[in-house]
Amino acid sequence: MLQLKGVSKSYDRGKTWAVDNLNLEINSGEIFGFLGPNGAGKTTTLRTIVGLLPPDRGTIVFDGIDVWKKPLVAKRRISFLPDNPNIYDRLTGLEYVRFIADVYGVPAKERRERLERLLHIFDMAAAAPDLIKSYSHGMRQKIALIAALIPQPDLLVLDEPITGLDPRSVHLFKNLLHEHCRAGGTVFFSTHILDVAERLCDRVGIIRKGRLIACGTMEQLRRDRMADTTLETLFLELTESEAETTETETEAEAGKREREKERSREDK
Amino acid sequence: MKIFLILLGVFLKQQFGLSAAYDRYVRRKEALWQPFLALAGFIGVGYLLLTFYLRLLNSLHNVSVQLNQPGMIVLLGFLLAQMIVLVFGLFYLISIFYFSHDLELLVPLPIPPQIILGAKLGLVVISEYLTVIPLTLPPLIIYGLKQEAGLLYWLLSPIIMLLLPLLPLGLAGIAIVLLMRFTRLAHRPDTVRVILMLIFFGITIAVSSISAFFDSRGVVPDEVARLLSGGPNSLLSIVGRRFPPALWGALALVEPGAKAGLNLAMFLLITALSLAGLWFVARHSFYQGLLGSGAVPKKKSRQASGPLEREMLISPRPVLAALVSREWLLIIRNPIFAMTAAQALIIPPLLLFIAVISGNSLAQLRQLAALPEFQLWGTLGFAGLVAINPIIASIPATAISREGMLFWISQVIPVAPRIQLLAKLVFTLVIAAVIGALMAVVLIPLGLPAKAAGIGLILGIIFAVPLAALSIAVDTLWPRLNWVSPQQAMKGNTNNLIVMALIAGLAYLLIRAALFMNKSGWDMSYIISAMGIIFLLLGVGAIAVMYRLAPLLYLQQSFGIGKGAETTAPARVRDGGKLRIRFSLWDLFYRYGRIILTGLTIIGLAIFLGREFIMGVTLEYEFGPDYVKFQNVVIPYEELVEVRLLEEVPPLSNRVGTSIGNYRSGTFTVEGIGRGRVVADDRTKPALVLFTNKGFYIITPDNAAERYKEIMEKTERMAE
Ligand SMILES: Nc1ncnc2c1ncn2[C@@H]1O[C@H](COP(=O)(O)OP(=O)(O)OP(=O)(O)O)[C@@H](O)[C@H]1O
Ligand SMILES: [Mg+2]
Repeated sequence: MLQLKGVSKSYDRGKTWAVDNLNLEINSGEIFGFLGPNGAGKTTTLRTIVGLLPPDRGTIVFDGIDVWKKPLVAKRRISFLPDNPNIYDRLTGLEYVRFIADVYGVPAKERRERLERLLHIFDMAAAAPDLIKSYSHGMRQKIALIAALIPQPDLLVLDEPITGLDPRSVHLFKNLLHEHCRAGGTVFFSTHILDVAERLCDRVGIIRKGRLIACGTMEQLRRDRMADTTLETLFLELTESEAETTETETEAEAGKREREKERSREDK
Repeated sequence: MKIFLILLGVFLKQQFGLSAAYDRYVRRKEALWQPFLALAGFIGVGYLLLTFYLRLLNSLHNVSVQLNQPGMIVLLGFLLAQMIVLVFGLFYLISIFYFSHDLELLVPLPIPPQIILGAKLGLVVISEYLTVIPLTLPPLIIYGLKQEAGLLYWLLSPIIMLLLPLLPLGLAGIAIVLLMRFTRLAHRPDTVRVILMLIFFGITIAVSSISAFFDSRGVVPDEVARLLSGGPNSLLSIVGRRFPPALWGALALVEPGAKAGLNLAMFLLITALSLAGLWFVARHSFYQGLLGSGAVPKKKSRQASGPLEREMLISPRPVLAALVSREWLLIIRNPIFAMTAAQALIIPPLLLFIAVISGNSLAQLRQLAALPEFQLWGTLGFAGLVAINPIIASIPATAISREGMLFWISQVIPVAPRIQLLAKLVFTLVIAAVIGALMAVVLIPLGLPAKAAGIGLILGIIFAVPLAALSIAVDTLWPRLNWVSPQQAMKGNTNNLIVMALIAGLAYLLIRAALFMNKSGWDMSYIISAMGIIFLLLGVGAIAVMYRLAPLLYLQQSFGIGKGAETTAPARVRDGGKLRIRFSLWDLFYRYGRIILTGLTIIGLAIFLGREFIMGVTLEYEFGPDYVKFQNVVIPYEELVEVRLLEEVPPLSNRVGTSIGNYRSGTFTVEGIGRGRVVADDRTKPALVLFTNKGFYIITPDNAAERYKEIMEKTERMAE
């Protein structure tokens, strides 16, 4: 189980908070989708989990391990895919995957089986011996994904993993994630593609200006809103208003009230 | 025109970070001490440089007036400025025209290529003014004031000054646009940088060998006399003939009347022509050179696409091996890193080799190697060479910086930072060993005793441990991760400076220690073992320091360029809104140590270099009742074997030391005498040669003839 308790992160020493007192629990075997407008703080949150950004406040605990107190133990069980596949582009795909497999200590047999399978799934077998520099954007994304999957970590942290993938790869990728979770693994990923999130995720969280404004299964969200809507409508409603809200009232409600007030002021 | 100005404005903002500075210092009023400190530093350094330059110009002017060549300083200023613009313009133009990332944005926009090109050229011109104006303004003012120039001079000179960079830039631009048009180089920034580096390296070697040539000959007086006999400002045209436009510009200012007009016309014409040429060439070729496929050559290993071959390629390795191999691949696959490292690794041994086999130094070395002392110093010297080589190549001191934007990978992999640093250390040691072995292979046939080479190699690897660990520790403290061009990570990394300063201090102490041991009559094997043990202990200490600092790696932010890319110093939070940064000495050191140490190193270096210069001016020879004293040397008369008086210092070669103007200080091969120490404040003055049992010294005191008599009398009296 991944627990974020009161996580906050500021890039300007506390003037504004990219992530603001975030509390989240993600259960083992769960696929959790992290949604939010641009600049909401998704990437920042993911980076604090994988050890790239020390949070200014709060703790992040994975299966009882505080990821900032025992980084190595945690890292052995976590894989990360960044939002732009910025990897050693002067290595070949195979060299990069080998490096990752080496540092995660993947044994020879598993390494071979997984690699063959992943290369086949993502149709990268032919390109793997080439320099990553010569890859297209999507191919880079794929090799970075393969590298993230090859250690078969307990927790996969993926920042917009499907942007840039072709439909076939997206389809196979979704199957991979399901499989990963069936085997007890956890997936925490951010995305902007709502219908993927809707169909793939066990639960979703929506973040706006660093604060979690909604979190739960699709069912729960719908029930809260008392409407049988799609995630897209939900998302649009939730993230629409500009008003600041407390955690008990949702953004959209506050927004509506704000607009009504304005209207009534204008009427007068 | 409007688009042109808008573009130029954007370029300027981007190039000089104006918006960022405005946002930070004016709008948010943050860290205001930074611009003030920078300004103060700028004024201080600028003042020093300017007074130095002014003094130089002043004396040059006085000399040139005596020689009836008053316009000389103006021409020199112009020539210098245009040459610098030509050389640096090449680099600058290539990077701004072809390798800047904004082209991908600009090219698809509906803006005529000439406007883009023109705005880029404008950016380069404005940047070049930053060097042209400080170089040319002082000579123009000095000449104008001293020669009491007329109104026309004062009106024309700023215009000519501002036009100066256009011509060399036009020429360089034409060359580059054509080059890019007809080669595929525009898509190979790395290749171009390597070529430029080679050219620069060639220039450096050429300049140093030319200066070495003049060092040994000096300027032949007849030639100078012939140059000067040609009437007023004749020297000017001879010097200026190498690059006539600078001459025309200068003559337009310093010649009277009609001649000036003609020169001015020529100057304007040639400038306009070069710009028109660039315009023409660019219209037809700029985009063709720029566009086209930016193909990256695929690494050919197609055979590896079958499962069996793949299995071999990805067989498991121990973590340390994987990390060391990553270090190697990241250096060798990046042409800039590879070249920078190779230059420093291969070239010193190569130069050593050339120096040794050319001339008579081979025989000298053989003689030297036969001395019993050489066993010790040869071994220690070779060990030092082996150890310092990878440091000079900036391999350990930029080990983390080189990872740059990809440093996030090191942060997420489940490998302890200590182990990652250890891998970098091991990598450095492997390089030291391999290059050391290579040097041994070269030096043994030249006279380095095999035993000294063997022991030296092992000792050198031991020496390398603390040096490399210390360098890596410095880079752990202050890695430079947010670079764009690889040169910034390696050559332009100030960590190199800090490390070199630390190591220079250490080396000084240890050499002193070795000398002391030798003086106290220790056996060679004892001295070598002692050195080995000292370095082993230092190595353990340095590794401990490196290990202590390792967790800092988790605090770096390597992604994204901008404020987020800065280091987050360990911040402590109090409850409530804002973050509190806990200030401690450590935090201060962590934040500002790099700047402070770099500054101290530069100041130290300046003092070190300036010291020789000052010594040249203030060199004093002290003649005591029974000794001569100069610099750090004291020679009691009783040690003198022979004294000779010469009319001047004989021609010198194979310098190991300093020569500025006529000042010579160091060890030289003196024609007709041999190799010895020269401490001459002016090599054209009458010189004394003092022979002792250990060697000879050449000095140039005032009234050398009287001193000679004095010493002769005293030594004779002593002999009786
Ligand atoms: N390196 C940085 N330096 C300064 N501020 C940053 C940095 N990275 C992010 N921010 C700020 O932090 C906030 C959150 O950014 P973050 O990248 O987490 O958003 P995101 O939800 O991932 O957005 P997107 O959907 O566009 O990827 C933004 O307001 C952004 O301006
Ligand atoms: Mg993001």
